[in-house]
Amino acid sequence: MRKINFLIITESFVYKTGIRFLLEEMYVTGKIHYSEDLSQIEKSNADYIFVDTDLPDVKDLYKQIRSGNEGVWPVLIALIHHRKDKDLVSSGIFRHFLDLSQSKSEILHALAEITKNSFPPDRAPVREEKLSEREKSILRFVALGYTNKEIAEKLFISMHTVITHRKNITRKLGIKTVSGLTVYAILNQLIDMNNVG
Amino acid sequence: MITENNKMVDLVHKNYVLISVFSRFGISLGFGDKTIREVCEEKKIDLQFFLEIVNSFLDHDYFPREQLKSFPIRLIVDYLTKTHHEYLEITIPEIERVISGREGICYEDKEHNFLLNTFFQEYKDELIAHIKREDEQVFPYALEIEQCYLQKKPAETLPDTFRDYTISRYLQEHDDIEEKLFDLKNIIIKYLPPPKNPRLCYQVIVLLFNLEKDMNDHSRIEEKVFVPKVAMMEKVIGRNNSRQ
Ligand SMILES: [Fe+2]
Ligand SMILES: [Fe+2]
Repeated sequence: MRKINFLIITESFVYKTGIRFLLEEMYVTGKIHYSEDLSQIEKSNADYIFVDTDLPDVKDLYKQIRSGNEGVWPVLIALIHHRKDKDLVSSGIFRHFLDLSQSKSEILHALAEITKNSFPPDRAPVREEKLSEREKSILRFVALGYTNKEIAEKLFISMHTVITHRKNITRKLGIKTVSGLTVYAILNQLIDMNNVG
Repeated sequence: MITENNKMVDLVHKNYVLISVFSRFGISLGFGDKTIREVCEEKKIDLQFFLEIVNSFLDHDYFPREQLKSFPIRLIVDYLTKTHHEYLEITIPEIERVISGREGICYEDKEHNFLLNTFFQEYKDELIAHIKREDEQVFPYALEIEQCYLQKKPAETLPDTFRDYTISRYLQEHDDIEEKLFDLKNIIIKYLPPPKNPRLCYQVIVLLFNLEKDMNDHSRIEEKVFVPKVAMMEKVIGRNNSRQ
């Protein structure tokens, strides 16, 4: 799935870091960009744009909207300070409002609500951690002390493929070194301890 | 951000791991209500250096590379050497006691103890070799370079043993000593069965996490502060960095 892209437009350090903090809790893999400049809206390829409604030229957005630019814009989310502020910016350009006076759980909930259809939060991603048969056989060789080149020759595959497999093995197991992989292989009966030199 | 007027006790409350950073400066507990400035004056510690080390330790986004580079190599090397000493004399033996001591972690299956032990010993040997090379080769070299630099002597006056050495070679060979530590954690957390004395596992995990954090900080100072500073001085005294 494509990674979600955010843009936060504000001059406030606190807004910027606060919203980043919340987004990072929901999206481990997302990308977050910042700007202080409203004209970035038109250039940006973000999926969602947070707009600080206190920015001085926010009113110009309304003019642009009348000239019919709205269709090509990403989803705009207005950052407001209290529910009543909603009226101030309810002109149609903002698809959503994020009320910053709320508690953490309320804001997280609101964010999830906004993005749920196109990008469900990946806070608890289900990752495939089981090794494939191919990876297991490569792991066996690694644990027995074979080099990448030797493994490539034995299995009739390219060095590049071996390296890719090794990266995946390390990612899945959370083990980086050869001796660590050897311990794993012994513990899981992929090799016999007596075979290790 | 920590400033000279903060109390030492508040630093510890902020992050107790700093106690080991203090010890590298020769500061031990019992500082009452003394401020950082008072303690540094008392112990004749470079106040600014102490502050930068503490701040960059607490907050990795706060990394005053330029400021740290302004300190003499002697100060930086002294701090790094004391850290090495602490790893070898205190931290590693502490972990070793829990992993392979008589009263250490104990598994139902003897083979598991053996695996954990062997892996740890291998890590320890690697760490000792890593530190030895820095203490005996890299740091003395850097101090010589600093002497040349300060006394405006040309590179030709360097002692013979350092003729062919450059700091970029060190950077190339500087291996990632934290990787095995990372593995060790996961082997205990994920792959070995629960031991007969689970409380010890908790102990060792705390020690390993603290050591890893500290080592990341240490390597960062080596690579991002120490190396660029030496490279800058090499350049000034006319050593060609590309010569290997
Ligand atoms: Fe070191
Ligand atoms: Fe090092």
